[in-house]
Amino acid sequence: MAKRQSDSELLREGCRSYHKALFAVMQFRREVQDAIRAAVDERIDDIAAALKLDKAEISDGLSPYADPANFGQNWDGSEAEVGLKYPGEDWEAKWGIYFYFWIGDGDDGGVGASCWIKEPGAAMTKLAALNVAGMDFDDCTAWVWEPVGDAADGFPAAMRRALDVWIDGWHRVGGLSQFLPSRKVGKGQANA
Amino acid sequence: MVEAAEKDAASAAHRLDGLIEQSSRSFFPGVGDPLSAKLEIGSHRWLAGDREEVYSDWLAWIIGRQDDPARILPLFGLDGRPDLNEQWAVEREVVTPYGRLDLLLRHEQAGALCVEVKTESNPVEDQLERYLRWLARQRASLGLVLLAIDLPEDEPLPGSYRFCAWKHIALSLRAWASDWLRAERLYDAVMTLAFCGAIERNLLSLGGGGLNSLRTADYLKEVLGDHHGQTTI
Repeated sequence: MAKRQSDSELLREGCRSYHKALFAVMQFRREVQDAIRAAVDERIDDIAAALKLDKAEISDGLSPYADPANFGQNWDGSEAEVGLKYPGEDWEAKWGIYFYFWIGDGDDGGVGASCWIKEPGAAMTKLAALNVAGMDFDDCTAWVWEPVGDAADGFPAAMRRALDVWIDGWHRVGGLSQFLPSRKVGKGQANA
Repeated sequence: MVEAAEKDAASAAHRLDGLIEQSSRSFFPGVGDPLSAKLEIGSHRWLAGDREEVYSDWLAWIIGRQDDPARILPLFGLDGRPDLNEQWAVEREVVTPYGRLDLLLRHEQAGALCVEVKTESNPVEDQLERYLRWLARQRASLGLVLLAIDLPEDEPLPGSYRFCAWKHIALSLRAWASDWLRAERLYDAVMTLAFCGAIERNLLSLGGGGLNSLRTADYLKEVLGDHHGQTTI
């Protein structure tokens, strides 16, 4: 039986710096989520108006997420995402909006805004017909994605560009609310 | 990423003294910010993070010192009720057939608010549901708040009760303390600030050096950025 290598470089380095690597990952998540929150707050009036959703509901209801969220053993490391989503309760979600950072093998990191609808009806067709430059679609999701690049203000600038396109698209299609199923919003929303 | 975090932390460590000084000057003149080295709270065993009852006792005492009833609900992240005139009554460890409630706040007009306080442990199975059943039998219920350090990411937000983070409590109580300091209620202000220091150092793990300077600097920037919750400054 092959003996498992127990003197790998990663094991040796991890014994010196595991706690720092973990802190760096968690701090990165916090900073990404803070930067996204700031960009969204700056445009929350436009976002709510374009989606035709309640401004306070979106603003209060945005909650942080990460994919992967935990240190699962079956994650292949090929891509990762950190961001804010609304609604936060997703165990029986029928739709959701996401503002996020995404990075994957072969791609530089970028930021985006997306909307997923479980049963989109005519939503994606109508959005596609508008030919909004920079907006992409599949059957259930419409998204905008902007690379962050190397500029000093790359992250907030990319987020602003992404939001510009996303707001424009939803504004032109007449809002998101028309495509949503009737819903119950949970009373409990995190406040911190 | 580790190297970048270390660089940022070194830069944050340089800024920390200035941020603490700015907070002290702006909000707590003559006393100092609870995150300053002047408040050595970490070695006080009474305030260790696992002593949930101490945190509940102290919080109950501070709530009892607040003579503006409109500031109680926002302390727990709930919508304010400026119409409230009467004072709140705060009870600790209220024995009910459904279990012992950590904090029970009662108000003649507004109703009863139950707060389950957690510093390290998690609610045991059915605990919150039992308290909710008890609240449902009260004349007027404001619901149940779980006060804890954090909800894990990707954990569904509770539908039947509210979550309040200790961070929110600390930021809000800083505002209360600042106001009391200005009103020359020095004991109230200083006791409350010491409690904020205990929350911040022992529960939120702020302060100290190294990489953690980043978190501490971010927190103080939030304080100075007028995210004071209920500040009236």
